[in-house]
Amino acid sequence: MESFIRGAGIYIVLLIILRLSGRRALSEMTAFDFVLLLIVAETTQQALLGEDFSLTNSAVLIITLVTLDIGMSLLKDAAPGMQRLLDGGPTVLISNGQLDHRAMRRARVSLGEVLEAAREAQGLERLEQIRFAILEARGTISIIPAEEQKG
Amino acid sequence: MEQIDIREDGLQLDEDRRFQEVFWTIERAAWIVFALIIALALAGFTGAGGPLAKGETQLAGAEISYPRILRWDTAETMTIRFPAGHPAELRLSPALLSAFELQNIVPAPSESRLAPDGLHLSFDTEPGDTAETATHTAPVTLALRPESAGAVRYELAIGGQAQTLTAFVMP
Repeated sequence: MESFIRGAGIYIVLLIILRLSGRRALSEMTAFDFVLLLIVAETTQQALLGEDFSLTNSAVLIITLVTLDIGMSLLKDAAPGMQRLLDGGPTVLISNGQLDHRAMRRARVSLGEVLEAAREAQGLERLEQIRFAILEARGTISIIPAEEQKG
Repeated sequence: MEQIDIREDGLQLDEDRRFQEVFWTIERAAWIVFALIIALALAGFTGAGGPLAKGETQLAGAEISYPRILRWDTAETMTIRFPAGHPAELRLSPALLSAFELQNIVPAPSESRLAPDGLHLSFDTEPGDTAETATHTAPVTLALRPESAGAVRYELAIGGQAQTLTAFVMP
């Protein structure tokens, strides 16, 4: 019983904290973000296992976590609203070359980051070459270039 | 098959800006809540140190420092300083014994006796006149490890006087 409570508790706590900390938090990781992630994992591990290092405990815990994850994905499939609530949706930052300053500020994306994504993904040099920039649900920035690039 | 409409600007994408605005607001409220949780943790509200986590009380001349907020599975100490020159006797109620695992008692009691009203412990003390300046004995330390989460009410008795103390065990 304790294994399930610990597993479900950690699952829910992590889900809430990570979702509310903003999707920019753990995507587009810097080296420090990566280390932070490792520390979070290490901290969680203690609360998950307690003092019980038995095979049974770890088996029950793994089954609990995986089952919760499957349940969550079924829930998302059944209700699109749930998907939006749990995963978030895309946010258009640049539409037809027009910057949405409010969206960028609220989503904590700087112009520099948009330009970086544009350079990385499309090899674009300037802002005016960007037609669309979309902050995707998983935190990456998709860029669609302005000019028609037909072979 | 679910339908995703093409927007006016030509993107086929389902952006719910109203929901996103609400969520951004919730996100910012959550950051404030995170800050509050940190402040509460520093104050001791989540246990493991801090002014709120420990309580002080007096009972029959003895000074008791007891944990008010504990954490499941994590031992906290209770210290009792008996008045000098009096017999050092203590009773722990059954509620305390079932809620906490008594991990150790330092010094070891010279006598322990089980009764329906709990566990009676006696400690050897020096005769009163050797400790002229001190008003209390050195502390007896009990390590209590909570067995489960939730509120615990237990009784502590010294010299025939009993006091009910409450503790909250965080999950």
